Amino acid sequence: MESKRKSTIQIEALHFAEPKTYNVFSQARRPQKPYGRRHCKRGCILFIVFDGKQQLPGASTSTEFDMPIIVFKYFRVKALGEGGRMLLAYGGQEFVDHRVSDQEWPTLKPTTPFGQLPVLEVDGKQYAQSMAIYRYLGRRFGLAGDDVEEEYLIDQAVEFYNELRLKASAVYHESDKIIKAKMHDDLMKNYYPFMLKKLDDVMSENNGYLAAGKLTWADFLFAGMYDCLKMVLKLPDLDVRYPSFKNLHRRVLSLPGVDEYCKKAPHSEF
Amino acid sequence: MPKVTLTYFNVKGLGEGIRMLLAYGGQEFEDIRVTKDDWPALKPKTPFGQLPVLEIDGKQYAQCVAICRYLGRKYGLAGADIEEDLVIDQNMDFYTDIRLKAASAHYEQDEKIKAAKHEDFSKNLYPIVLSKLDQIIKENNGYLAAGKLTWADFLFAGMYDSLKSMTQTHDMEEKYPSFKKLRDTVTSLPKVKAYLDAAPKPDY
Repeated sequence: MESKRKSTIQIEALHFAEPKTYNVFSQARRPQKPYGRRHCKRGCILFIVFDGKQQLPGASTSTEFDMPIIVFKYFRVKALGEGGRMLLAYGGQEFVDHRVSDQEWPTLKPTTPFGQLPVLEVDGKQYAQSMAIYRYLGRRFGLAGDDVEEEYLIDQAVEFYNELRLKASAVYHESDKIIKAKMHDDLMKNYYPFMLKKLDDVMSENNGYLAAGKLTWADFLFAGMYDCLKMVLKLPDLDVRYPSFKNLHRRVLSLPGVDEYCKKAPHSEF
Repeated sequence: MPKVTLTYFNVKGLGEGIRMLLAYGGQEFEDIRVTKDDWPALKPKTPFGQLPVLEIDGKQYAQCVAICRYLGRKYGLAGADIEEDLVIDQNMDFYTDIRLKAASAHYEQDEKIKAAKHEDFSKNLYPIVLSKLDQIIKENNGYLAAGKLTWADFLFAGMYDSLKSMTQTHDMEEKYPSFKKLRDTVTSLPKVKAYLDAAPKPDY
């Protein structure tokens, strides 16, 4: 990004019930693949809080951005949100990492497009649905393949991975203990082995990545969800069973930009 | 001209949208419909042990939504820019959530669990999400996203009857007339209609 920046941002979170703490990640500018012309609004938004300190609304350090203001909203876990945050960090995109607490969620929920998180807000416009968001960020940051064929391969791998993820999540969210145990046993016997082996094969065929033989947004989804997947599968030894999974996880987390983000981000088990 | 085959069961379901997209794109294709008896032998030859599978000059494409998006890009049925594509993907994913939830109830083997799931969804889920879907279609000139015809509408149209049966919404035409209207919009597109008129009658 060649645009000059003046030295002050003022950003105000008008729709929050109380002053909040946000982390703003400012990475070194990275060359980005052009994806078309963009008209970037010159924005002037007021921020509450930098660097972990609470401040009163309207407090300044302000900068005028040439780029749209990005807010990524998700709960205080990794799960389906972390991939998005890591994508933004990798892309060198400054963003408000809005981590929603249980207390805040009921008030925030009706303001979201579908009553769910994550939500990506770009210049005040909200977008929902994790895969849609990831694909968009992937395309913005040159992580969506070189052509329509490669984009398809990424989508195919992600759709396959999501089947596994959703089946495992359904068990995790089942409230009836007997049904839950039955579901888990059934999947352990008849489904997980095939799916995990297939996932491993896919990585073997793609230089350790999920698709197109190289790093794509699919890998960010995988890495961000990895600890959560281990938990919902109830396979804490997944690292040992399939070293390719852990390798990909590690590879994504140590990418420039992502590495710095992970060091600063609040810790979450899954 | 590439050699194209679309392999699926003799039902509409997740294959119909792809068939209609290919027809819309003016792509001649072999419309292979697999019987239950033939499926076990074919299954290991597919990328993920599932159908539909699209094959173009010997290259296999699996995963229904990925295929529809791919064809959408090829046939001018995608967004004008990545923000529009984001909205199409967003609304399609919202619809997919509904479809998958309904399928989880519909395909549940245990009758008691199935009944419980369906009762829960009918009371607590479908009214909310189907109204939301209705609202989305109304806000988009009768389409699923971006105020115009996109690949998402083809998938929706192909799955319309399945959505009705899986959610057990027998009065869907009365409750949410926008759904049938969108289905009909897609099926009456000239090339799609021509394909459907000539195609084998699906089991459902």
